[in-house]
Amino acid sequence: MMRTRRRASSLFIVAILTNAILAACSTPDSAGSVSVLGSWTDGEQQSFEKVLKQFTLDTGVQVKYQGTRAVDEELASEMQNGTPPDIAILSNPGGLRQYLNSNKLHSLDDVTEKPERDAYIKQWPEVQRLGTGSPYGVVVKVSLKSLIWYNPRQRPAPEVRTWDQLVTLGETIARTGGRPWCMGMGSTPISGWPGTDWIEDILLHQFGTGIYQQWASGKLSWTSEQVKKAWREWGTITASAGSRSALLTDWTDAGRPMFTNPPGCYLDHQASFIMASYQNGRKDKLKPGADFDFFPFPADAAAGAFKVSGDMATMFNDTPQARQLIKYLATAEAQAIWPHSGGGGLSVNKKVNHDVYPDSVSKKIADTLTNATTLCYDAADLMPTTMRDAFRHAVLEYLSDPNQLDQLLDELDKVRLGIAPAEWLTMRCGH
Amino acid sequence: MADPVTADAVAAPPPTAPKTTTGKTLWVLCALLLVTTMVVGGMCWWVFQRVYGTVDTVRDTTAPAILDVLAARDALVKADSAAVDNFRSGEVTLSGPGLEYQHQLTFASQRLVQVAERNAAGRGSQRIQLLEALLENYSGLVGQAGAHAGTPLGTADLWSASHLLHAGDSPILTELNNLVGDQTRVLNDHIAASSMTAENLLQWVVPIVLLFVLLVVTQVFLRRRFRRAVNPWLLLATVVLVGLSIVTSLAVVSQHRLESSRDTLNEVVRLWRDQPSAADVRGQQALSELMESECTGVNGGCGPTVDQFVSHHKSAGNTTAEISDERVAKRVGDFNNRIYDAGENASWKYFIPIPAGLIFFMFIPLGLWPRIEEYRYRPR
Repeated sequence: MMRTRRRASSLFIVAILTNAILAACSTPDSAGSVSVLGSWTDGEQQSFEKVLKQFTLDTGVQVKYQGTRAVDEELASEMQNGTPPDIAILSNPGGLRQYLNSNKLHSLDDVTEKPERDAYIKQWPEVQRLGTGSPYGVVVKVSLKSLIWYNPRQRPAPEVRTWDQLVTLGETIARTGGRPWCMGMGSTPISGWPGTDWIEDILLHQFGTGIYQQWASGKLSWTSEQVKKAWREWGTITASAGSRSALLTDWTDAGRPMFTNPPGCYLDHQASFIMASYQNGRKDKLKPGADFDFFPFPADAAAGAFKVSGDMATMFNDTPQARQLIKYLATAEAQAIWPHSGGGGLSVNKKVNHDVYPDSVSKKIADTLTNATTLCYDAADLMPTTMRDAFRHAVLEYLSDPNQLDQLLDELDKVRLGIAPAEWLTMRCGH
Repeated sequence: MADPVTADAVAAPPPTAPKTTTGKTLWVLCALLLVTTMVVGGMCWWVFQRVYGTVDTVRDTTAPAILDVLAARDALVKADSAAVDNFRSGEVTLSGPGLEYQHQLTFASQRLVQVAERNAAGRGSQRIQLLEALLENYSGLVGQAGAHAGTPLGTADLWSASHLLHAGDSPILTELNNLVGDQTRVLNDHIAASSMTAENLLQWVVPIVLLFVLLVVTQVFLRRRFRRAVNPWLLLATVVLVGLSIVTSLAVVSQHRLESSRDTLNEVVRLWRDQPSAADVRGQQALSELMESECTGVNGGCGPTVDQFVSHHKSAGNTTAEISDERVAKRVGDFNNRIYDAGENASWKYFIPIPAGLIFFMFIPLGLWPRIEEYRYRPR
């Protein structure tokens, strides 16, 4: 009798333990979770969530993604509270460098494997190292800059190879009564960045990669002849674009008049991500290639060079789940979901087949990104945050009153000299 | 007529334990009555504490935190409206964004500090910190607009600032919404935790019924064994028990009022989210007029976003917004009345130990002890 009771008790305990183990195994959080902070909202967030969904299906790890336009402020606030996200996706290596200097970033040395790192186009591993010897990020999505967009239904592809030819093209359009340039600086709360893109492109394509690199890394004065000339050249463009209009127009709106009849403007200097803005909110879906296409920014120097920018996933908390996600984001499989989902995402992973791009223009951009002789990272994104913000403000001030250029450049140089050398990121253009 | 029980007791030997069935029954009844009284007292206190503790938390912490967030947002909208008015009237060149703007912005910051002090939500303090950083961006943009007053750059800065506060994907608005959402969830959780489930009701009612039944059974037992018409002390205990039950049921009424106040507050939040305030509409109309005058005749215009904004706010009247403001103000008043009513009977909490103590220490001992004493030394 006693033995039967003991056996029954043992069976009961075993049953309870088995039940507890089974219950623990069946909970959705059993593989853990990872928090991700990024700037993608709306359509971009949906595209990224497709990538994350596949990751969860593959690994069982739940991902808590928080998308906000105020990503810098959110990250700063979380850091101050001592509760940073496991992974943050940021677009400015200059800002990341500041987190690296304060030992907030974790190295990905033993997270991403060498074959995965080698799969990246050569320029990108250097970006991912943030000027150090170890990788600190994984580029998730990139954009190609140095592009000028036009509407092929309005005019054939212009044969523009030099800066003078571009200026002449603008003058020709203006003579026929058209407004050559579409331009909009509005982008709350970071208005002015489309102007910084212009100045960077002019400097790169008129004075070459050496000058561009020196300037981007804080070694060339803002008052130097080269930088001053770049601003003045841009001034000739803004005069025909209408600086008042440029100040008051949102960057996503600027190119839309290209598709009205008659066109409100003819040429739009923008990055590859503008394609989504062209197509959004229209009843008649514009066809890439037929309704809009691009030609490269004309180059007097550094022919074949393009500017690029990217969103980089970095690890703020070294957890097994964060490592798993970083590793996954670096794979060709994850990078292929991005472009396929639309939203303008491009991959720099050589293993991603260009067939995943949904249209001929996206394929052409991906080919350019792969085959370009030189890629230079967006200089404003490489600069320390204080310098980048001052640059954006100066662009708006210049548009408001071009006569104050010398004073503006003096002030920008004072900001440059006030920044500690360790905060500057030196990154070569390359491929 | 001689009492047989008293006669038996006289002949009893001196042992201390009760020897008769009647004696044992009396002891058992006494113990059961005392234990049940303790349980009843404890449960009544628990019910009161649960409900009025929640009323206190909601009235003093969670609800004011929600109302503070709403007040902060309202003040921000008024600050923005005041700044735009100053730009439109041209006063900006002399007085910058203006005193009203400064006053409302300070008020909004103070409200957020209050929310931080009352915050009961996990991510609340982080959201407040983020909001403060975003408000710095906002006031920075308004400051720049003031510095560039009278130029297109000034208008562009003001447009950016206002956009930062009003746009559908505005991070400030998003964070304020998130903050209200967090605090509302905490409030709803608090009230849900204090609500009377069937199980809770049984936990409270069953001991009362049990004590009542025990008092009746004891009365019947005493009447049968001792031929007394009624035990006055136990009768008094029964009357006090009924009184205690009635007083405790006030907590159930208060819980109902608390739930009603929660519904009112949720409606206030919904109205706040769905309808712009009159100050909001006025400010956006003033901005649309400013943008229209700035963009008219400009080569290239200001783009579809500005055009749509101007045409939308040009045609929008603020009658609906004024009605909405009145409804919000009325519902906030209703909420204040309901939460006051919910806490009205809280002071009865201090009354509970008195009847429970009287039953425990006085009525039951006085009602049963003489009979127990009689049987104490009696053999079977």
